[in-house]
Amino acid sequence: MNNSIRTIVNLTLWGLGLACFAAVPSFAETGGRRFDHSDSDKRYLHHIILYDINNQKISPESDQPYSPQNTCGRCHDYETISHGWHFNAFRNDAAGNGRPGEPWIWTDERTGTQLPLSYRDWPGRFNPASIGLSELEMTRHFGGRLPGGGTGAKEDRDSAPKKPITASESDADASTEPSRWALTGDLEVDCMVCHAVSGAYDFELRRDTIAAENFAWAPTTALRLGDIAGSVAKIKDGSDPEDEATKSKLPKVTYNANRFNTDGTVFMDLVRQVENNACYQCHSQRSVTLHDGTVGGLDEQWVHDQDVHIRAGMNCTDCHRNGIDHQITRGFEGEIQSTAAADMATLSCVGCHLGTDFYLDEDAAEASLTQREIANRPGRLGAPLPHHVGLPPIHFEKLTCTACHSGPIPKQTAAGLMTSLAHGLGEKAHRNGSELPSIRGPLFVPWDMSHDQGNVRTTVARGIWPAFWGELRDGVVTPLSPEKVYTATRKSLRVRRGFIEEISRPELSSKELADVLGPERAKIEVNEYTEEERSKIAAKQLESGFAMFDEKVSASLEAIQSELGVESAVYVSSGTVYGLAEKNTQEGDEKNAAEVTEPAGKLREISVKNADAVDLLPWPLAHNVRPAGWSLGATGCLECHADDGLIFASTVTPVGPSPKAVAPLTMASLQGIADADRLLWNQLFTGRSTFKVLIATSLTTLAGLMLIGLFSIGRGKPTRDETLTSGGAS
Amino acid sequence: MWKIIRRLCLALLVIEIAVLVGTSLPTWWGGHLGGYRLLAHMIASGVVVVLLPVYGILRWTDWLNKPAVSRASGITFWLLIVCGFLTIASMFACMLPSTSTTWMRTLIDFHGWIGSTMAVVTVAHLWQLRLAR
Repeated sequence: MNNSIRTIVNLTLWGLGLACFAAVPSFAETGGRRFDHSDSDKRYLHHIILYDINNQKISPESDQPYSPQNTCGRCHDYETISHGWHFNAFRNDAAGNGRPGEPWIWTDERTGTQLPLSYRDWPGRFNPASIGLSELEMTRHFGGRLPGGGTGAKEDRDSAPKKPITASESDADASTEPSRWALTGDLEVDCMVCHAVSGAYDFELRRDTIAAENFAWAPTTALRLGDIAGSVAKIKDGSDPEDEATKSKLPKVTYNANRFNTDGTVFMDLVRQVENNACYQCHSQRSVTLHDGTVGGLDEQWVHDQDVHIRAGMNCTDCHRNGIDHQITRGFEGEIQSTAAADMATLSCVGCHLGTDFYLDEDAAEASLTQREIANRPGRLGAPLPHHVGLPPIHFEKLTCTACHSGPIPKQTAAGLMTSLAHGLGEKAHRNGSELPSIRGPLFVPWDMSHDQGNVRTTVARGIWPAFWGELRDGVVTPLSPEKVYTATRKSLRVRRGFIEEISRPELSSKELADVLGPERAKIEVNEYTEEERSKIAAKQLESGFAMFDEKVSASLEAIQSELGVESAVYVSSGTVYGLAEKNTQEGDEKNAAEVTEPAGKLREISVKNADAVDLLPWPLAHNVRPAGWSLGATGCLECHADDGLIFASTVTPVGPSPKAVAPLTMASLQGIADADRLLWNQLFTGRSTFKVLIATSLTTLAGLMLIGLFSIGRGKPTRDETLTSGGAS
Repeated sequence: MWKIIRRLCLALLVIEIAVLVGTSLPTWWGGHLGGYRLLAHMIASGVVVVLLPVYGILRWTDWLNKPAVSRASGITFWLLIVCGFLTIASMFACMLPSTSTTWMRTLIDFHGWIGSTMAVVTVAHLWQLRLAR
């Protein structure tokens, strides 16, 4: 009896439980929302309590930095956000990496290094872990351009999949990371980097703070919530973070009491839709004029035109949108969108201007979203429908939209380019355009659109030739840690300002100047030199540069071999690999090198098996989009299909810190097009106008013939059969 | 003499039409016309553009003197002229700087179909001439 009652009670309770569970709205039913929303287009004012890294409320008397995770994460899904694009820049997600983009370029002017790095599995870039760069070093070096997250956050460091690491990397991590991370704190995802209104966030101060290794303090100082005293960078490596003496050296915050309201809240001046100014911080570009391969200076800002979309009143985030997952739409064709954001597939050039089924065949187009969904038709955001009059459709199979419409205006030679990520644009500095890394563009290169070798089109790109110190093993060159190289080569290179200005193209002494120009002209101001004198000086600089390069690079290679225990050290620049030419090392290298050319002084040039590690590394560029009238081919076929057509005939010269002058490459050669083929096609286009006249004549003749034929039918002219039957003449 | 020229024209026309069909065949299975195939297609089309009106005039003027060998040969001849005209005109329209991408695609589709029809008509015309002999 008791058992029966117990069973009935249990079943009743289970039933009630299930009924209650069913009555509660599921996660999906609430739209995946775990937090309150304003659900209005109006701006929601954020008067909020700040919380520190220990999750304690911050008052004007606090001395700990505010934590975006503990503050913003109270009302926003920090966990979901932190896996978004930008925050995963230091993570490899094969499924979500998408189209290869600009690498992190480790640049060291002193050692002549411009080394493309990426944690993403993109070709031509080196994984920092595989060359012994610790995550802390990467964050210290590039954190100023990282909005937080990635390796900068502890959760990500702990959960990150580890690649096989080298001994040197293991040493680096073991010796520096455990203690330094505890001191620097996490570089948390800083929402205000992007969401603060223009002028409310001090990017410069943030960069300085990160450079001082005060990672956890960066969000506080960037909002100018208070002053920071102290620098983690000044604390010695290996210091025990639990030691009171070390703790006393950690930075302290003095909050600005005026920022606090009477109720203890702080006004965070932010917007939901990010302003362009925040994007420009990391996505600006300037061009550098080149004269005969040498830098003519950074182009003035006023000569640069804005992107046509910006001029039309759009914002970056109108196209580059995201949901709470912050998987920002990058806008390239073929980008994989989540099912929930399928409509975002239209946020590309083709999607907005031509519709998503532009490339589909007839059957697929009839079943496409464009036919079924209004939102997938062309014209999104008021995009004009381009007619491309007179442009054969094959161009859409051979070229990306950006090839003709984007990037700096192409000229006969590719210009120098400077970017925010590579050159720190945005920081106050005296730039002349010759600073490493030497990025060149616009380049017209083939690009696999579908990443499966099935849909290769020519696109416009930027690119660099990597320059680094490396190790040659079995004919394969791999970079060495730039930090270790700097230490090992400090004495042999003896560079204080820059590798190029002190080794490759050294300034001439007064005696050398007098030898070149004569004693009188040697004393005049630099800006008074004639063109001829400049050429003479440049030639002399190059001559001295070759001698010095040979001497100092060979000495440095020896130093690297002895100090870093490398069997065969090499230096890579402008697509050339330099190794030691001395007999004792030559023997060792010959078995490693794929091919060896004749020695020139103490150095010799070596061919390697992994040429992609030393050759041009291009990545597509999308902005700025030029007006339609400024696109390539706007004036007709002969703009491109002529011997001087820029998309094929413009050139780019492999460039790097070494003094070696490499022959310019045509864009056609980068696209794998033989000159003979190109010239043949060009000849056909030269005669195109004549051919049109010929066709018109042919059509007129045929039309006349048809009219006569119709007239004949009208007259009922008999055939031979009929004529014979009726007894007429044969 | 005219007879030889006329026959030579027809022979060349048939060869060039065969080249045009051959070079465009892969497009029927989704491929696109490019590279050396496109080059050959363009060169052959240039020959057809010249030869078709020449052959048309020669054949027609021949029939002015003596009647057509059969009604079928006359029909196939005029079909060849009409198809040739439409094939050439559809591509000529694509070459003008006033045709939009959408129109161009439609015209290229049409060019493919009418060009194929022209090839069939050419074979029929050739067959009729042979029968008449």
